[in-house]
Amino acid sequence: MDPLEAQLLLVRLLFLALTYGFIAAVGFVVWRELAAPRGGGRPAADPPGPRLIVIEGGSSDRAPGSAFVLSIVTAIGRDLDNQVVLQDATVSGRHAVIHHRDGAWWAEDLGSTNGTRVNGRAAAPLRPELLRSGDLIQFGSVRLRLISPDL
Amino acid sequence: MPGRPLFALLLLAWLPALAAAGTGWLSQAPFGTAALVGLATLGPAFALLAILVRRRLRIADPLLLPLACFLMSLGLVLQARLAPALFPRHLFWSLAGVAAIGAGALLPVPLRLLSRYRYTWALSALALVALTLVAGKEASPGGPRLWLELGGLSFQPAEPLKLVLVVFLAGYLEDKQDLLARGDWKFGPLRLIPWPYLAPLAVMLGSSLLLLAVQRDLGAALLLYGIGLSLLYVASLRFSYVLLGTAAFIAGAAQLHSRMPVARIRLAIWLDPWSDAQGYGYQLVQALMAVAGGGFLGSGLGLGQPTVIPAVHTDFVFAAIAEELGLAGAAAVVLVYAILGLRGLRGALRATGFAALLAAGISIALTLQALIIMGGVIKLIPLTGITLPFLSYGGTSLITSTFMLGLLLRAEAER
Repeated sequence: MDPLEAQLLLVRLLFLALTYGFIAAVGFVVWRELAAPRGGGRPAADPPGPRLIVIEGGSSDRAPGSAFVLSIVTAIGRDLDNQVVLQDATVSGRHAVIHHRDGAWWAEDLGSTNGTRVNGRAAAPLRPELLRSGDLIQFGSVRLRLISPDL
Repeated sequence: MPGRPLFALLLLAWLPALAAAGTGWLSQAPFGTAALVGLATLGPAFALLAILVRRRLRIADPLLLPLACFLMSLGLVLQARLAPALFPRHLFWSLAGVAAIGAGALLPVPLRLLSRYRYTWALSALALVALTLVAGKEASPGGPRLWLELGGLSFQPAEPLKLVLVVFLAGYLEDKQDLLARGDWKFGPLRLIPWPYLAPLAVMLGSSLLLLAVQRDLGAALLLYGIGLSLLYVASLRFSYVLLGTAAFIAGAAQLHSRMPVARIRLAIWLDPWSDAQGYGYQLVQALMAVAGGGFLGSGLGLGQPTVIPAVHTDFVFAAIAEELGLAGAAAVVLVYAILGLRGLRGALRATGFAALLAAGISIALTLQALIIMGGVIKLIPLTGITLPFLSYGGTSLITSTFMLGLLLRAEAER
């Protein structure tokens, strides 16, 4: 192999090394972002603590992804005196209550017209249902997900 | 945006193009110096842009600018090698493209304005495309008349139409999002929105496609249809639209096939380019031989014969990449487009409302365009002529792609 040919081969390999080096660097930045989801000066993520995340807001003005922070007893319904007000026609005025007892969260339907469902299963009125973090809770056509870091 | 990784990545994105030009200096080809001059101006331009973006945008994706820098630097070197006579113009448009990223990202006008005047944009873009039917200029004698000329500058209205369509659809779909998701109107097993709400969308998309079909600009038509369908799905999350859209696409393609000789030729060449290797199939056959000749490592820039392919500096630039930079280089380019699209979609997930749909639409538009032409050049799908974003020669294409990238940068910041 004459020297020019060798140099040309070297330059071609250098191009590939630099190109894939760049792609690796891009991959590294992505990996670091994923490894430290809260770092990098981004605005704060969802509020900490137990909360309800809107999955489907129905005709209420709650955008999917918005969150309600839960207190020990949280009343849910269309009336304005509930802690979580859902302005949807399929939600009753006093629809349900989510409360904390014996170290766990419970959802209790208050005899609503269109019912309350936990993970798709209908909850009997006035019979508290045990909830786990990640459960999908449906009031009428509004769907929310319970996120509770301590469970 | 954290500063250090951005500037380090920009440098890393710029270096491979410099190494690619290296074979030019070693073999004393004239494009070596031109490429060096080009890179020496484009690099600082990107650095300046990065400084401005970092100062003005509270949050912005640190990867989008380096990815664009990688593609545009490589494009500069490729153009210096493939079309040396046009290189000064390409350098000018590349620098203007950097400015266009800045304009898209930093213009002190709220993004909402784009959405508010969407009918104005849509009608003007359609009017410009319609104007090419009467006053259009062709690139080669007998070819499609896609260009408008004004005072020595030529301009391809189908390119901005792509951006305008994204803006129009994003604005319209955001307005009607709740309607779309609900789908009260049943059509057999499909749930759709009532037709009066679908009509403006169908008229806009339909008239764009019709115009482009009459113009024989099949690549742009395919791209616009793909953008429209993807955005409809993103906004509604209803698979029924995709099914319906695919059925309509098959029906439309069958119509085109029976009515347009161009479409028939394209299909025949895709199935067997060798049957007419000296005629209609010439371009594709030459491209395939170039891709095969490149092998894994490629011949090195300036050491292959890609210039025998017609339109190698515009639509067929990917064949030149495969021949001179090899499978490894071509795969890297594909990877960079994929990352660009994924980062754009990630930005869309973090934005809300119009900005989210705009970001999704732009990401889809850029990657789909790259996919259509790269797939066409390597005979994966029937060939339809469009440019490869950021790499092909062509002012309108570069400015449109870069301006879209700028908007993408901003969409995530403005929420």
